[in-house]
Amino acid sequence: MTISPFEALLSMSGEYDLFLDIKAWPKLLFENNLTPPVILADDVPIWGFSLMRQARDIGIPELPCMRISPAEKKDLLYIAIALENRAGSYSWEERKNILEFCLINNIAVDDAIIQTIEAGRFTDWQKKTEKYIGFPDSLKKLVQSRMLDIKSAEKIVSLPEPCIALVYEKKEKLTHSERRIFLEQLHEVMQRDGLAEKETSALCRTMLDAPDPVKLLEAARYPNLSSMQKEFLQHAQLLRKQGIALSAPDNFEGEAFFIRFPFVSRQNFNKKVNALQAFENHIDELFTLL
Amino acid sequence: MNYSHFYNDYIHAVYATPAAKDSLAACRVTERLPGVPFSIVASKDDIPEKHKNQKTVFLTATPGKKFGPCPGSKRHLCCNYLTINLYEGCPIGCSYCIMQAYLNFEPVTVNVDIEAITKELDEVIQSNPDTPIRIGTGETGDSLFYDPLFELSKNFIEHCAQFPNVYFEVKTKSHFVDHLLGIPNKGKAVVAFSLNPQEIIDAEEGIASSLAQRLEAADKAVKAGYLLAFHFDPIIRVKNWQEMYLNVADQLSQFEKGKIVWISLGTVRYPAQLKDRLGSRPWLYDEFVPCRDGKHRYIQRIRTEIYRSVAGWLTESTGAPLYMCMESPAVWRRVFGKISSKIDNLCAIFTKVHR
Ligand code: SF4
Repeated sequence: MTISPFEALLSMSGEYDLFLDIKAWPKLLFENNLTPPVILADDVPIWGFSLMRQARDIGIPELPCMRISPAEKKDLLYIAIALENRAGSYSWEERKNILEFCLINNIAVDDAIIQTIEAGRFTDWQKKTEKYIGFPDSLKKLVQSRMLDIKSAEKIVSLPEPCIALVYEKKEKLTHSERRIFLEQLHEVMQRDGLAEKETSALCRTMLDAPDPVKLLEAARYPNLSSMQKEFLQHAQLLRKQGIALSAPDNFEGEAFFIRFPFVSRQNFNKKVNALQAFENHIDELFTLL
Repeated sequence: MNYSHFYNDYIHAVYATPAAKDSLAACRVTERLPGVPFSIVASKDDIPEKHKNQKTVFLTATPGKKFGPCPGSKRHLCCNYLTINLYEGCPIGCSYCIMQAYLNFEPVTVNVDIEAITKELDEVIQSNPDTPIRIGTGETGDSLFYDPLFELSKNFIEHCAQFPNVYFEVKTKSHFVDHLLGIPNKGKAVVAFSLNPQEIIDAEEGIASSLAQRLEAADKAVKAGYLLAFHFDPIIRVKNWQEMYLNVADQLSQFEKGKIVWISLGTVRYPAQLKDRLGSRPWLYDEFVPCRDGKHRYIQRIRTEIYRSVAGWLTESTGAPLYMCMESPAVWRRVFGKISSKIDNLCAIFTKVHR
């Protein structure tokens, strides 16, 4: 059995239109009626919206269709999710659609439903999805486009929207993990310094306009540490010019510095020793870093 | 103390294992909190879901190690402290409490099998007759918050009093010492208070007693014949921290010299994986770096500055031996000029106990 025209179905409210158009069905399947059937219950489409939209877009006039007996909305939802069959890979926007469907229709979001969506254990599904729903649009967009994970999004939710929009706009400036660190540190600086929306947004823009936004923001988040690093680098550079490598313990956590140098002759050795002797003047300053 | 009035707010259910149900602690809780439901369960896992929280107390006498060395921290100097897990869990609710992050959904466990713990303890004491031994109950929970109700510390104080080399320490953020004052033989029992400026107590230490209450309790304890100890841990670098901690240090000068057997210092720290669970406390926005034991601490230079200042004030006001909790040899050298084992008045604290 086929349905035609399905334009009318598409223009209906589409209560069960929960999923994004993820899968592109090959035209050949449409032309030979080989796509899965659109499912209707009581003349209401339950599953197949994506198929119908694709068919419409490529000018296919009719699609296979199957009518099932009317059933409880919860069962119809199960059927839709089972046919979509992408457990574990639904986007947050789709999870949102499913949760909203459940809430509107008084369907308890139990483990059985969650398992059809998530392929395995997923703690606090409803809570997390509700959090996503509560995010401002710009943050939703960032999460939905997989540019930020939900956990990090939760942490930075109070960042002003213009900052998040800017990070989205300048997406090429940061890698995925840099973006997470950038947003978290921006949020921490905002909280620490009690910055207002305008100030935070200005800070965000300045950072993102810089050649290395992560490094610049890190210096703002860790002012002591970064000035210590700067100071250390100055000392290290003095020695590097003489072919001597100076290293400090990680994060200046420890009690010893190290120097290392190659020497190829007595003369060369003496030159390095002289350089080290000259460096002695800086030793006290160096030790203030530990 | 009006038990039912106070503890009814903090204990909504009591569960006991069959072995613990007739213990003295169980009798005390049923008698003193008649309105709180008391049930028997085979194990902690059998406590119903709705009672898996910190308002439930679980009494157990299950065998297992309840006594051992404080775990210390990798690559940091350890003070060879021995701990008894008497109360596991705590309702005080300090924002910085790592245990909170782990144990929030756990009932507070009370290990009532005093005899078994004492036996383990005796073995260690007997193999170290000439070594100063420090034993405490404050590592897995507050030593005294529930103690007026269960009165378990009394047993250890009395027992340890026989051994002149044993310091038995109870550590608390409460002021609940009254039930301990009348114990006739205290030996070298130490009543210890964790201290912080009142501003930090208000902001970070949940339902803990005020600084004034703790100091008043310390005064009562010392007058009753106890030794005292204080723990400035965690020290938090808030705005005006110098004035605040100096003020607390000054207040300790009221105690007779020699009565304070030790004071420990430790700056606030947390394991990286628990940062998220600590929420968004303002102190977390300070500069922390990962240390060699995996915990995050203030930058070494900043810690050193804090320790030097606080140690200076405390030495002036109390003259008591000071040590740092879970600190690196580098910081020890910078603060005290040497590591713990080379400092004379810390021998009693840092001598290794053979087990
Ligand atoms: S008193 Fe100690 S155990 Fe209790 S919450 Fe505070 S830090 Fe944690």
